[in-house]
Amino acid sequence: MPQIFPRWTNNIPIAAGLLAPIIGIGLIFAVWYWFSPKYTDVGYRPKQPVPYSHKLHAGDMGIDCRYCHNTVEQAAHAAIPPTATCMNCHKQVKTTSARLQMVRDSYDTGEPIPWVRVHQLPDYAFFNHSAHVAAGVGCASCHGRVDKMVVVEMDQPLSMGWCLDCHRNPEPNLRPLDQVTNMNWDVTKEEYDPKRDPERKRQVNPPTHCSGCHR
Amino acid sequence: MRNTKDYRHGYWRSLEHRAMSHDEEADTWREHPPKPEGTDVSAGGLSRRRFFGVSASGAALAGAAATTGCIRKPKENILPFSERPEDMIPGKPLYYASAFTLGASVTGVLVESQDGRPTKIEGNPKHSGSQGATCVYAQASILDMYDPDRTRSPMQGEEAIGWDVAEATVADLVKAKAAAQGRGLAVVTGYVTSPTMRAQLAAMKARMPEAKIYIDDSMAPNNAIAAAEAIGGKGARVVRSLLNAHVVAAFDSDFLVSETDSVRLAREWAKTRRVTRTPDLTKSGGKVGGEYMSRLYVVEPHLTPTGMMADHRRRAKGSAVGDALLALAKALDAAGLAWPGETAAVAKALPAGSVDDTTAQMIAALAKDLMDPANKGRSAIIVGERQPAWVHTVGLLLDAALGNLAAGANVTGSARWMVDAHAVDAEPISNLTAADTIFVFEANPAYDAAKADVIAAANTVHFGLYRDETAQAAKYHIPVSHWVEAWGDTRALDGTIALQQPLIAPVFNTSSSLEWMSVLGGGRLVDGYSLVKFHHQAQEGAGAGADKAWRRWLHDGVATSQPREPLPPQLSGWGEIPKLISAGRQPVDGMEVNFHLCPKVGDGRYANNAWMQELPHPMTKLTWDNAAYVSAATAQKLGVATGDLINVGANGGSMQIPVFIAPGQAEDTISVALGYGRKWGQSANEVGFDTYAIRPYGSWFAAADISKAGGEHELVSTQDYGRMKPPSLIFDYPERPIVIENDVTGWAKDPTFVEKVNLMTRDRLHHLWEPPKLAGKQQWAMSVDLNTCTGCNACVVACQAENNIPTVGKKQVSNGREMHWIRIDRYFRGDENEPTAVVQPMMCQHCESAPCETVCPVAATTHSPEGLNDMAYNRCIGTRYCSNNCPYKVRRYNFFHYNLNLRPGWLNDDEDGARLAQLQKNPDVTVRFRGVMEKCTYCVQRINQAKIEAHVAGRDKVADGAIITACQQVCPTGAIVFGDKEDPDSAVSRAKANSRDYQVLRDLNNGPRTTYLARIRNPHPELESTAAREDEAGAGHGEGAAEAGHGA
Repeated sequence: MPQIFPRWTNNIPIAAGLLAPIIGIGLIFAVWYWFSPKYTDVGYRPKQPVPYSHKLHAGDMGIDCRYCHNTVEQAAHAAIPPTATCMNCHKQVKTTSARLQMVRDSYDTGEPIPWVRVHQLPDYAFFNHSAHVAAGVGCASCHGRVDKMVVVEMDQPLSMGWCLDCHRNPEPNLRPLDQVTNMNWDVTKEEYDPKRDPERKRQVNPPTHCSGCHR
Repeated sequence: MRNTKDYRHGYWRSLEHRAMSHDEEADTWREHPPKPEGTDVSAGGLSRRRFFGVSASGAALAGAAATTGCIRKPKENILPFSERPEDMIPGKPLYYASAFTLGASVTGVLVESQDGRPTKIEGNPKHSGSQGATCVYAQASILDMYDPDRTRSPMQGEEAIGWDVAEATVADLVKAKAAAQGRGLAVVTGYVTSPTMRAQLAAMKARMPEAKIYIDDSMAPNNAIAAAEAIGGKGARVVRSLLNAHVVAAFDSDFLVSETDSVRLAREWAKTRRVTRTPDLTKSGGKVGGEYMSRLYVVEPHLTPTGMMADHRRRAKGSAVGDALLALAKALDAAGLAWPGETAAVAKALPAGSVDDTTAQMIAALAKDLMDPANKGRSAIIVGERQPAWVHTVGLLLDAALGNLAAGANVTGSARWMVDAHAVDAEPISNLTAADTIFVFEANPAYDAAKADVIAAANTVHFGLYRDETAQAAKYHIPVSHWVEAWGDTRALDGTIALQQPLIAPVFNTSSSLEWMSVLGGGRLVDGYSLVKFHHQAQEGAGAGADKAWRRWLHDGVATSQPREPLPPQLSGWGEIPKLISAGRQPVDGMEVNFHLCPKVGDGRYANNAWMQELPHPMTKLTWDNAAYVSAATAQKLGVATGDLINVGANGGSMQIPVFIAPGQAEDTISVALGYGRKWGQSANEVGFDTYAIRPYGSWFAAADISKAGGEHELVSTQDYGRMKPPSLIFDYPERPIVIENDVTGWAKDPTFVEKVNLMTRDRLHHLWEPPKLAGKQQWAMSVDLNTCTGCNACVVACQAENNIPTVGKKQVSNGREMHWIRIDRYFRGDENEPTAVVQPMMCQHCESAPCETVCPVAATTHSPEGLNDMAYNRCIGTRYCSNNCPYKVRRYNFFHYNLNLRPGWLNDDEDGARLAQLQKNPDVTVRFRGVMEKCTYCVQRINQAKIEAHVAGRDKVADGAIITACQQVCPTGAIVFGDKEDPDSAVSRAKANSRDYQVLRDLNNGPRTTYLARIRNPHPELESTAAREDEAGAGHGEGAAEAGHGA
């Protein structure tokens, strides 16, 4: 009786046995890496309707973050500024620039500029800017060097694990309260001990329980 | 024999429960008891077809994700203002002062605006009618604004017409009538509290002297006003205050929950009942009177929250309540009450009232209390709004003789005379027989006054939110703005003026009733802001500072510069009383039907409000229905049981309605709620039974023919849901203390009585393992005072509005799937016909060693360092173990996606409506999805907000009082206190230091953070023995059944 399968097929079970764990590990790695916010979210850089450059405004010209995002110390949101804030300057400068046409239109008609959200938390996570700014967490700690970004992108994954890394050990990410918006203050190089800072009225004690952020 | 004064035993939740043997009770102890026909799994509106549709779209989505290789969240736009309004910070709510009106009651409110969306209503502490709280209706009215059933454009018959056409039509009609001096013109409105609207109506009268104004408002105190005007002349009003009351006698009056100014009266009354120190019998001569804690006597036909709060309650037919008052007058006269001046002759000539023996005993005790010199001028005779005017006049006569009615400032009396000089000169709607042009402003005479024919025969323009019965009968229907969308003003009965300001531009481009009324007075539509501002500046003078004063009024919600001091009227009408009695006194000999305003839908105006329909009734716990309440004895006589239909014939009409056997109901009466049986609206349609069909307009009781009709109707009551008594399969548990009561003398003799009702002493309670130490700097806790909780439901709806709690519909409630985070349990005790009752709000107790947490397989419910029992919705996989293991039965499970399916079968045909209703949601609270467990969080969003504010300001701790939970905020009696229990000076620590403080089911050693203050009754010493005797007699036959398994 002739053999139905050629001889090399005897190796299939061995090959399968060797490959299955590799594929399995590969799959785990794939999900772990490609499905994590570190891969999906970091570097997210949507095209904005107005080619606004943070590098130019915040970096080269040195406008403080809070000039535009002026609710950051009072509210949960660091609100996108109203068009009127743009026009404070652009009534005088670049008044005919074609790139600013949408801003001028918005100012004239009252229609909002449809900015695209870059940093987007899930609806069940409640983040509050004012609490973090008051604790001395720098803008750059979460948003990266916005002063060097022509188009804003996500610098950090903003995942729950990433949040908890800091909530469990906040000291390395704290800075003097007057340096919060300073993009050049480098937490890895500067010597700063929040416990000895007389400017701080209270020591931070970030929540790590569920209802700290989920409610 | 058990001591009947022992308040530990004998509680029952329903008559079915009372009749059960111990074993039967164990069988029914299920959280979601299976129904005979099984539960319908498609009740969420998910048909097979839709299921496959959803599956297919899910697959398509997965495919799309795979092909693009992207699992990012969908792109989202941020649309900032072009120019941000002053003071507005995106994401931070703003509060605007306004006022809510209901009949003649005005409640000042602060409306929360979330980025321009009004989402929640809170009380305005500066307004006398609110004092920081609101009634349940005000809480629910925000949902009406987002009701997709609101009419969206003017209509002529069935056709939509343009706004310009509508305006021209109204203007033409007015013009034609103005030329005829207003002959044949009728204007129908509800009770008018708005001074501007009153001025407009007066202007209309000046322009068209022959026009007639009719008031159609069942929620206004029409009888009380008629009585006050009979004695004090036009515009005379009596305004009550219970702050100094020692003795309160309510004659068919639910003044604590559903009558005029109930929020203020409940708040004031609660102050006389919030006992903080244990009574000292040695100092008070062995008896405790009203100066320690006020005493409440009630005579009423069906059990109301006020009757539930009473120290002594007697049942009487609605038509016999006046007799009880006459008997009281006779008893007081016999006791030598000095009748002032000309009232003596009237008082001496009052007819005798016939009352039964037990009522006579109570009247005798009440008379003694009233004659006590310590109570002079410190009592209140409150006659209910359902009672005819003659009963009110007798009540006023007694009040006057007892020194309660005074005029001028600095009086201790419980009531004062005032004059409402600008009251609208109007007739009751029943006088409207024919007219050729009718304008109906937010009233519904076709439904509640049987005027459909008159409406249909005339050129009628109906102004209202909904295309209701009157709108359907009318030729034109013009939608108007909700009060949150409109300018307005209000004058409360005590003279307080409050402004209403809009928080949002009208959603459907409407104008308000006030604005439309300007067409009547001046011929054209004027904007509300100008109308209101002009009116008030004309009153106050528009000189320098007027604008500043106006802004101050808007900010505070109260126009403080308006005169509030009462003007005493000339009391010349005492002699009218005998005439009123002979005209109005009509005893009902046989069966009586009496009507009441539903504590949920009112007179029907909240019938299309899903929150109100789903709310369990304060006493019967019925949802999505009304029923005829009968006593057990009467039901036996009629041969009916709960759910059986009966025929009721009265006032020339007849109807069928199901019976609900209600403990505490007077014999030979049925009590029915108004406002149901509607034929329109997605929530209102076909819910309950229309009882206006048999009601003589303006009258609240009538003789009736009642017979069994055959057939049944499913009534859904939540009264048996969430019982906290375990099955006796393994252990035969003695009855565990859940509600605890005592009377003042019992408390005085044994200040630690709450300790003794527990089954185990404290030293026998041990933990299996060392409970983890809670490291938080503040430890949140709550205290609920059962002595002042009236079960009014305001907290339930406030919680619903604050925490995005969905409604689920009657069918789901019948499966035990209601979602309310607060369940107000109502317990009866004693005889089935004349029980005492007590209510207990039950929500997550935030146990320190929580049974739910130990069984969650995914740690979705865990403990926070500050003692909160946290719920991470996104982690929950829906095993429902936690709910199973919760001894208090306070966890709620989303069996379906209720938030999309706001009303059963709703989303599918009205996606616009669903989007509209979404606007009410609180953005600070997660909207839960199907398959997720939820429960009371102690309003963790408010806690976090207050903590963040404190931290930003550099403080570690939140100040006491900075966190006010939604239920605490709204509570009219202030029964709920929340705060940090580690701070010995906090309000909650002080409440918990009271010797009445106890933990429910302490024997489980859960360490609940919510504790209760035991209910204390203040019976009259002479009735006490009688009550005890009655109790004992009742215990002999009644309590045996429920207690058979465990002789105590």
